[in-house]
Formats: sequence, structure tokens, C-alpha cells
Amino acid sequence: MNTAEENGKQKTVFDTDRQHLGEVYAKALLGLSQKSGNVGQVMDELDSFSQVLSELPKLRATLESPRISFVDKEEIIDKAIKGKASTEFLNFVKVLCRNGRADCLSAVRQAAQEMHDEATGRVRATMTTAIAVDQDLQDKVARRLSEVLGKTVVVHSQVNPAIIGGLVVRVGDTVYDGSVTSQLKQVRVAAIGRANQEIRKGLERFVSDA
Amino acid sequence: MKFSADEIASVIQQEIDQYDSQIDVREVGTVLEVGDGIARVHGLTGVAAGEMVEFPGNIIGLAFNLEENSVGIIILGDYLKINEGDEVRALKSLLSVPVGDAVIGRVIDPLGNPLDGKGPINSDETRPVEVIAPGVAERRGVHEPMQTGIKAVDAMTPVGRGQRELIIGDRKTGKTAIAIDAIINQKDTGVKCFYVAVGQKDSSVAGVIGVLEEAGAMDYTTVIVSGASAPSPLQYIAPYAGTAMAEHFMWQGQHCLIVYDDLSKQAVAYRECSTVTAGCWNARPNSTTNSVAARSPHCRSSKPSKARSRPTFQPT
Repeated sequence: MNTAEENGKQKTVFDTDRQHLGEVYAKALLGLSQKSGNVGQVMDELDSFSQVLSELPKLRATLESPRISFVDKEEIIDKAIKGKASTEFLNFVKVLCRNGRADCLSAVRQAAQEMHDEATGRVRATMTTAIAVDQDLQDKVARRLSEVLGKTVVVHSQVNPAIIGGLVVRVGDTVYDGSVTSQLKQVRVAAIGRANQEIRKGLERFVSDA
Repeated sequence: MKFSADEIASVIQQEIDQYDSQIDVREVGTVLEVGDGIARVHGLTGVAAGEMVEFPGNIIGLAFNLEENSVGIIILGDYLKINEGDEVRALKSLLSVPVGDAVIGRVIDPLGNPLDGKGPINSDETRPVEVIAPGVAERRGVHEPMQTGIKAVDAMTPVGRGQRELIIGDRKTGKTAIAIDAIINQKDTGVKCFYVAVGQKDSSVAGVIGVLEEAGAMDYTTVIVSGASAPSPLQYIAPYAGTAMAEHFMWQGQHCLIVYDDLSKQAVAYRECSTVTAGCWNARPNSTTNSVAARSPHCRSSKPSKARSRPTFQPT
């Protein structure tokens, strides 16, 4: 059993509390941007701002810090994005900071992306291959998945040499595993099962007196 | 005696030649928390209540609680081998056990895995563990005796085929002895017997099996064992598993005697499953759940332990 110390070092897989908060704020943001008709722009601004925060950890720490007053944070936000982003997005970031939820921005971005994808009939898929593949193959896979799922599929590619060959596509919680590793496992199970069956049918065929 | 490697190799080669590759399509989730025989999993959006899932290491689980953002799964195996971040796959089937003649004379666990060292259970048929029992209108009245072989019982409080009988008494008064005598007395009657040991000491169960073997009763008896050291989910499903195996013969028109020893321990196991599922990650301050099993020290997650209030409004 892992000790508490070992547990402390293990990376958190997923925070459902933060995910729930993200969904609440994402719903509010998308509702507002739909009213003003600039959903696409707000989504781009959200992506861009998240990217900025990930590249500037000090800015992120400042906005998340409870020791810095909201007035100071508002000033920083105005300096950073006022005039460069829409009013809806600017106000959204300020509300997030005022409520002490700046640390949920990535969860908000993820939830907003999922809600926006669902609203526009789009699905994101992750394709894993043993070696890097070209854009042509990614587009082919995206087209084929679109035919199967009946939605627009956006494919994100990643490399994992452990699969040896073939490809693994994950769409939501469904995994389509055509990797060489998976097929080798299936062959192994089938071969062992068949050997067990044959041995049980006629042990004398496999045994000889030493 | 020597195994012929060439023969085994030829069988494997034949299997590889005939192998038809197929894409493996599976629904997956990720373990968020695990402890005390329960796992909380994110994902598995299409999983149904009671559906079997598989953890790494071929450990089986059962989807118990379908919550908004996660699935509560009871682990029918060693939960200490499961870690946060492990991938869980749905098996798209309800929990089923092997049934048929292959289980007669065997000692098995509630999942149908053999415990007697006599090889695997080779059965082509399975039955779901949780089924709706026939209603009152579909049942015939009890009209045939089921002799226990104990004169006092058969004379004063006879038991019939299709009847349920409770054996109640203080500890060490002979409750199990009455049940075992009843099983032994079914020799040459065509009645198949099932002894379900729930939460018992393994040494006690071994003693019971020894008595049955000595009396020749193991020829028509199946022993389903979920001992005191077994995970509580396994203890919970043991009576259901035994019933499924017995009902296979019942629906074929044969008679079966099934002994549950004992259902009190199954109730304790079920309560433990329910309390841990509800209490491990929904602990509220000043609630009774908090005092019973608020946060188990064995619950492993990277998040620090803390009591959380159940939100009554949308958080902002």
C-alpha cells in the first residue's frame, strides 16, 4: 500500500470539483457570448489567454494568489488584455478573479471547448501512432471517423513507440485500438486458450514417457 | 512423463495461421480514487448499473453508483493492485458466473474461479448473477419433502422442496452441522447441493469440505467460498452467485438445495460496500456517515483528505 508521502508525490489525474466549477463558468461565458453573437471570438480569446498564462507562470500565480487584492488584480488584467479582447471576455476574467476562481481557468477552457464542440456537432479525437505521421494520414483518419460518427472530427496526433505499430484512436471514452501491441495480446490469449483446449481434449497427444 | 514441445508449438502455429485480426473497440475510464474495495472512475459514460468492468491485472469490478461526473465501482478482487490513473475498460456484460455440470464437485469463489486446485472450470454456459426472481403467481405450492435426515426436524418442522428455512441460534449451537447433515442426506436423491460460505473462517470452510468429501457428498455438491478475508464486494455477491448456479439446474427441472452460511455476514458486507461508497468521497461534517467511514486511511488518492460540505447551490 502506498504511504501518505508517496500519495503526496503522485500527480492528480483529474479534479472533479474543479471540472464542475469549470462547467458552471463555461456555461455562463458561452451563454453571454451567444447573446452578443461572438462565440468564436470569445473561444479564441479564452484559448489565447490560457496559453499566455501557461507561458507566464508568474502572471498565473499573481492572479491565483489570495494575498493580492482584487483591485490590484483588476489593474493587472486591464493592463494585460483591455482593448485587446472583447468586453465579455475581459469582464469574465475579472469575475473569475473576484470570486477567487482564477485557478479554474484551464477547467473552464476545457469545459467551454466541450460545450462549444457539442453545440457545433464537432468531436475531438486523439490518434496515437508508433512514429510521427504526416498531415495527410491525419486528415484521412479524420474523414473516416467523420463518416462513422456522423460528426466533424478534429484529430490530435501523438506518438507512443510502445504500441509498436498500427494506430489507436480515442474519441471521448471510446478507444479504437488497432495497434500491433493489442493484436499481439489477442493472439497470445487465443493461442493459449486453444492450446489449453487441445491438451484437455487429448493429453496423451502432448505427453510422452521420458 | 515429458511434454512434447513440438505438438504444443504446432497447435499454437495453427492458431496464429487462422488468426483474424480485429480492431479492439472498448469504452474506458480513468481511476480517480481507490480504497477499501471501492474505486471512483472518471469516464465510462456509457456504462450501465451492474455492468462488469476490468482493471489492469484482470481485476473485475462492478459499476455500482452512477454519478454525474464519475462512476463508483466495487472491486471484486485485490484493490491494493489498483492505482490512481489506471485505465478501466467496460466489458459490456452483466456480472455472470459459469454454470452447469462443470461446477458440481468443485470449490470455487463467487466469480467462478476454482479454489480447489483441480483445474479451470470448463463451462460454456453462464448466468447473470442478478436476476428478477419469479413472482408469487408463477410459483407452485410446496408439495414434495426435502428430508434433512434429522428426525426431529423432519417430523416436527419438515422442510419441503421449494421452501426457504431459517436456521437460527447462538454461536456454536450446531447451525452449520444441521445444514451439512441435510446436504449429506441428499445422497442418491438426485438433488444437487450448493453450500455458500460467506465471511467464514477459511479453516472452518476447509473442515466442512473435509466432512462432505468423507461422506461422499462432494460428488453432487458445489462449495462457493467468500471467506472473512475476501473483499466485501465478493462477500456481497456470493449468495447471488450460488443462487445463479443452483437456478441453472432448477430451470432444467432438477432439484437443488442451497445453504447460505450466513446471510448476516453478507448483510455486513453489503453495508460496508454502501457505507464506503457513500462515505469515502461525500463526507459531510456532523453527519453520521462521517463518524462511521468518513475517509478511510486506506483510500488512496493524491488529494489530501478533507471533509467537504455537499453544495446546496451552484458554487461561484
